[in-house]
Amino acid sequence: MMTPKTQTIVASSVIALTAAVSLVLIPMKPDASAIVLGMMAVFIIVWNGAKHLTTRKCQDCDWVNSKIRHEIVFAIILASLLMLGSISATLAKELEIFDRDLVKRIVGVNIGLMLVVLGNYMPKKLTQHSGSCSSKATGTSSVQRFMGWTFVLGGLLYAAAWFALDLDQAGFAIMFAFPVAIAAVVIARVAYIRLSGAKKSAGQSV
Amino acid sequence: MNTVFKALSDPTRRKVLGLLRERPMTAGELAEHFEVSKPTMSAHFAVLREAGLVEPVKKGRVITYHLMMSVLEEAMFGFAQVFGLEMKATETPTNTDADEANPTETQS
Repeated sequence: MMTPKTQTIVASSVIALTAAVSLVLIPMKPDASAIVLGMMAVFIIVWNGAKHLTTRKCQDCDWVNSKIRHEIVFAIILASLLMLGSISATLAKELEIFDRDLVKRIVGVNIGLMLVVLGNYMPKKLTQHSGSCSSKATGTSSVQRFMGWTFVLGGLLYAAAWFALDLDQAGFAIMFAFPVAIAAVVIARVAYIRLSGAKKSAGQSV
Repeated sequence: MNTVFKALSDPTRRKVLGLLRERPMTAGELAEHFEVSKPTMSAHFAVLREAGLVEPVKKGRVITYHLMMSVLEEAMFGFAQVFGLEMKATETPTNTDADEANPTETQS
């Protein structure tokens, strides 16, 4: 896990880099650049707003506030990285370094990898600090773990489809990424329950 | 990540994580499943807490432990369970300063 200082440095760097690439892209794609620059401005406002909004005073609140700030900055880093990947690929296309198809692939793989990162942290983050300060953590439920695994597998399949298949095939295949991931997680879960049940009954019979 | 590997390398800690997968449990409920002393269990909990794999929630004098594993950590836990990842230099927790850090921990 990143320290708050490292997070601040990473978030600032990614936002600055994304804004710089957007500024370079303005003459070629003014609409896309304006959207990305607008989003970066929103991220900065949210980031600063989070510092002021997470100042509740109560027992455990320091812990809660730092967690909320950590997660907001983490989300900003992820979203900025997603935009940086897409805007950089667009710039490369405008400069005729990449062709249109490669840009589509890069953006697809980028989105898939972001889903993987998001899914990985989902079981760890989702139910923390809901409600009052005193309920600082409610732990991970099996539903959250299920969602996390689904996002990770679905994201991997999504990224793999854009990476390995023809563009037409990839556009079709990604529709099945999440249904396949859900099916795989359900099958694995059922197999785990059956195996652990079999182990328990074997242990009792010994 | 090193702390996660350290936490997963011990069979007792892996068993604690396995129990917490079923439901959140108090320190006392978890300790009932092991034939080790309370200070040793507290040290195990401290290692898991340090690795961010469990989250203690204190209510009065009772601490309930919740599982907080990311998907990657859960996958590593699964591999450790299957392949029996063990520490080479065994660092069996004993009565450590973890107990001093949590004087209110009640094994109810």
